[in-house]
Amino acid sequence: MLDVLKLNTGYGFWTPLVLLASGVIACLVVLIIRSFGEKRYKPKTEQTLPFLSGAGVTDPSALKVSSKNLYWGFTQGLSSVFNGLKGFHSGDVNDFVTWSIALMALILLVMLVR
Amino acid sequence: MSIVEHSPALLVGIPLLAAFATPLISKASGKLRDIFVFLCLAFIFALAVVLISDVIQNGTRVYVMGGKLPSLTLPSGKTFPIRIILEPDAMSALMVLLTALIGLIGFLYSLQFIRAEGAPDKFYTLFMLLIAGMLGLEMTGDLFNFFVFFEITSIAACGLVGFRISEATSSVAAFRTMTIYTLSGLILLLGVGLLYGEYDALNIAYIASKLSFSGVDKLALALFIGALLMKIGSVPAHMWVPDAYGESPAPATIALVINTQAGLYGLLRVCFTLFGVSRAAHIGWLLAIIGTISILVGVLASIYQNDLKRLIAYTAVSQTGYMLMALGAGMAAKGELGFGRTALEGGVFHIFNDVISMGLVFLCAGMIYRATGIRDLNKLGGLAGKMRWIAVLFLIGGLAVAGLPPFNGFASKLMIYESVYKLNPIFSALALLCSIILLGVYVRLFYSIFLGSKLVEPQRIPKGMILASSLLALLIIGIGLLPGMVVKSLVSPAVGALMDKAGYIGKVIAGGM
Repeated sequence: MLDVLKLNTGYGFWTPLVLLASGVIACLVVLIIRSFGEKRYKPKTEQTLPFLSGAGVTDPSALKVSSKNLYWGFTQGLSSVFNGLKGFHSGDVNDFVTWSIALMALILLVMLVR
Repeated sequence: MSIVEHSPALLVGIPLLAAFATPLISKASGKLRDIFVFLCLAFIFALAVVLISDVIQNGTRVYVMGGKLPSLTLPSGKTFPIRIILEPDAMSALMVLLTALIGLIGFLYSLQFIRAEGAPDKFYTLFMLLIAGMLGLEMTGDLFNFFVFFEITSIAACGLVGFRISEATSSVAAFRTMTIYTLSGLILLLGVGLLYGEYDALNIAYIASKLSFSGVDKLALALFIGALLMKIGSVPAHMWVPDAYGESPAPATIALVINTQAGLYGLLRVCFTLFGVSRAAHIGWLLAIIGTISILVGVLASIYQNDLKRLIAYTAVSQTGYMLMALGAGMAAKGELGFGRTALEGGVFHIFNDVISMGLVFLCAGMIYRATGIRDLNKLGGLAGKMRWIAVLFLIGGLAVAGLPPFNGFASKLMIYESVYKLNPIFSALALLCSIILLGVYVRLFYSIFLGSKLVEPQRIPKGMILASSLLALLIIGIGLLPGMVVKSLVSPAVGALMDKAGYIGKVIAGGM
């Protein structure tokens, strides 16, 4: 039975049920810790309203970091890489063909050398 | 006459005929057309199940088209096969099963999706044609036939990419896809012509038995590999992928994903059966390097994307890279027992997993677009409140693509990491790093679409679309929990058949008597 659940990966094995069992135990621990938490929280009251530096927030978009700003530090730090990639993906169909031919040439070269 | 005996021909014939019958039936009634297409796809799926169980039990099958007997490959007096022969082995049958499954799920999803898009008769014609092309390509034992099915899939796929004809971006995407598909088709035809000129034959098994690995053969191999790499969208010939996946309607995108895997199957068939891996270890290294670059470029390009479907399309490029890397490692190890076999099993298992998980993510993207009419991630947000079920499905799909346990993508990726490590630890480390970045990409996607304050009011999504997507989610969880069973019962026999070149040749050369 256990053999069916086990995947031999060549140099080891993987049994998802072990992970699931660990997950269940971790969830139980979390629930126990949570039961000791704050009891005064009341959902759908003013406790749950957004509050930014003392000012009420009326524009919902202001509460959300937009997609383009997520991982901002990462994209800024690697901006040269990303700019290069954007140049590579020009959208020009001539470039598509050029790169495809370049790939073909590379394969032919490898074949020729060997 | 038994259905099992004729299943290979029926698997190609039914969708092909259905493709052309659909517009006619549509004239009578839309409901009748839907029932007809459903029955055809359900029957194809049943046939695929019958075929794979038969092939795994009894070994590779041969089916001579138009022959006196379906198994008579060499009629009296003939020394080499002339007729078109379909030769499904366990690898072909696995791909056929996957194609039939995705076809059925894609149809169930499209029932309510395409009605709103308009022209469902045209959609189903192209959809069935694509299914027919893929099933033929996956089973044929004839090189020219392989090219014909390759072209059928290309034409149908381009039609589906440009399906939203009123949108300029769709037409541009279809043109770009068509350019690369045409180029790859011409290169493939040149390769077929070279082998035909040298061996006076088109049968894969016959040519494989005679192949001398001369200069012309090497040139043909290079042309085949180049053409198929363009078809599957490996870097640097991947630029059509974001256009094609991004602009096509969601049920067509899922069919395009399996079309890419059919191209990958073609690459496996050419490298392992037609040419044999023992003389092509250097090609294995080349494919592993191209695969690694594909993973890197796909993942990095997805980071700065803000268009929902284009972003997912770039992650699909990275997934193709994982499969290429595994295939390359398998070839570099000459497919021998040990890490070569594990790499191949990991690669084939990842084909299986990728279709399901990428398919689910694309179907969810289709539902999000249908509900909001928005693809710009900066304008989406807070949809989890109104689209809870879709949020869960998207999370399952995204985590499976990123390769997080216990989902199916993790099991196949683990096999790839471990086996590729033996070939070169750098490849393996890069693949692992990219999986982590991929997880970050999907976390960003999930946050942008579903969390935070609600920026848009979504429309209601038909239950049928959610149900079809849920089937894929169930498969992801099921395969993720029982990876060993899937590998033992489906993947391992497929890889065994792929590596058994002599067995494949023997089925045809023995004459079928």
